Amino acid sequence: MTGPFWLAGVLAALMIATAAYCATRLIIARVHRRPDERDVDLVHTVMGVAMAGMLVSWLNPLPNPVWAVMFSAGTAWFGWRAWHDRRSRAVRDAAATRPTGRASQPHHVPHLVMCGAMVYMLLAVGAVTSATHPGTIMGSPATVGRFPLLALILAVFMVAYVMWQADRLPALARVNSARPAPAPALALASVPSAGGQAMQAYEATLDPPSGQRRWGMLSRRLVGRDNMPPPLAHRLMSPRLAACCQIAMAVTMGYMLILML
Amino acid sequence: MSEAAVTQRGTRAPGDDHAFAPAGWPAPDARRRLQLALGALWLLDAILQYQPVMFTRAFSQMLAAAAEGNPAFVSRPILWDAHLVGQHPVALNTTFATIQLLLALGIAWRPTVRPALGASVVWAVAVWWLGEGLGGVLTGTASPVSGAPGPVILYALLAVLLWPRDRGRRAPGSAGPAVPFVAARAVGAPAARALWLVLWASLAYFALLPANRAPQALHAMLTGVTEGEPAWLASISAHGAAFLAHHGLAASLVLAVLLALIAIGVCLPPSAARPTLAVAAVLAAAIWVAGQDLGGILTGSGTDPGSGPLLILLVLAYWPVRTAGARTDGPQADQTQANEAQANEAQASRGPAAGRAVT
Repeated sequence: MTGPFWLAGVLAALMIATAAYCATRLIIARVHRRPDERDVDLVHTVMGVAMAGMLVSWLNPLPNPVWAVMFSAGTAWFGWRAWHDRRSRAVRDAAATRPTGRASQPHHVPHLVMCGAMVYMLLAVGAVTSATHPGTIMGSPATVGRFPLLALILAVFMVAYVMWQADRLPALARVNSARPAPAPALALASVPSAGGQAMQAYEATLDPPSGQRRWGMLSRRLVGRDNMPPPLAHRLMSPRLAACCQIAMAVTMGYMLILML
Repeated sequence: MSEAAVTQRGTRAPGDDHAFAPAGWPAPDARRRLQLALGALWLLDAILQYQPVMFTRAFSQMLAAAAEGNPAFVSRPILWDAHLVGQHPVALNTTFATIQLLLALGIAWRPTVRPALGASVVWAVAVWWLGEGLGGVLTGTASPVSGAPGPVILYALLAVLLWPRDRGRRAPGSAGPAVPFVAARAVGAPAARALWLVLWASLAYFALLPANRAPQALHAMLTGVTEGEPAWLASISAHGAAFLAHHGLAASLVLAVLLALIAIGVCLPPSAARPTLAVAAVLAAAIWVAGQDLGGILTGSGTDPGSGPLLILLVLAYWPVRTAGARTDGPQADQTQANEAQANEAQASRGPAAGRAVT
């Protein structure tokens, strides 16, 4: 079965790149004090490393039980976030004359399911391989897990999530087309309606960060001067690129779950 | 990388911490949702095609088995293809799986939905021939229980029915055509009904083939799919097989009658069509679980999810559009429901992205 081994290597490299990207987003978000959900970026950074380690065993820096504990905590965290979102939405709907649409809901559920899927894979693979083939990688016969129906359901969820994300990509590109202007007042005056709101939200993230010096020259080069992120940071924070990484991660996770069957 | 990070820059309104929907993203209408479901099935196919067993010679043997019983003009290309795959299993299987992956992503990416659907028709027909032996329809052993006329040809049918084009006259005050169900938007209601009729009538015909109406035919079919399946799924098939033992003829007749009723279901008024379509969905699900064991996915060697999900998707494409406060049957029902369909589905054209996307 030569195919899966090289395929596992390719996917592991993709996951490491995704993890590096998420880590970069974390740095940029911190330096610019962006109101991004850093918990999600953090979990995806860890998830990328863990998935790469599951695909290629020598890339795995931690034992499976440690990963399982981390992703169990992530599952609990995103479960709480999803519950909190639902509760606040219910309160808001009760106060509003018109209920908010589904499209305006925040989406922590996919991250919750992804963390749960990681826990499942780590425990299922660990339970099998610890007794038979220590160090076995995904795709080998020994990684067939227990509860295959659960693996299938999770894989179907990942597939649906990929399609949902990919369907939104063109719209995300348009969102990204908003460029920072030299002065917030000028930007807000020149961009109407939704674009103005977008610019307002974006400009709110561009305050001179007081803690920027702590990150040294590397982060200074990455994020550029105060009040004006350079093109590199702008590209790295591209919504389309972020969504593409989520798609890559979900496809890879779907593949890993199918290997559990 | 978070959901909020992805979208909030452009859409979060001041004071609204929960407005995460990207600006200019029209919510998928009924047809777009079905397209995405079709793309999801292609993606699942692609992932299944990347399974370890597909990179071995077992895949070429699987292909060669499709030639059995087929006439020479069908079987020879299949054997040639199987031989080729046997010589280059890794390269060719990688190519096959990647094609399916690109088809899925192409359908999901709105600007490329047309070429992706067109390519999926070509690919599905090629796989139907070279991979499934035309679903066994020429062998005399095709059965709706085992997935005839071949799951992959249903992908092609769905791609045609969900083609992003609107045919027919427009209803007053609406942007879309007057259609009674989603599948009629691309090809028109008469053609869509004809396609449905041909499909389900052919299934009824297959159910009555001599090979399928033999006393032990259905029993053997259900017991034959349990190998390698989880115990709970195998037990469902085993119970079904025990129930049908020595009752092949009666079961085939009942199945054929049901399928024939389903075939004419879309020609009935909506109030009668809905229960018929519901029966079709339930029957497809039952066959998928008991007769196909979820397409053999849980064995680790399934190449596709089987015909069940595709038939259910087809049912959804033909489901009459509900109209609140309007008549649900009679001669005016189709027109009324078509207007409702337009009201729901025209929202895709309201967003800035819709013009170059779906409709």
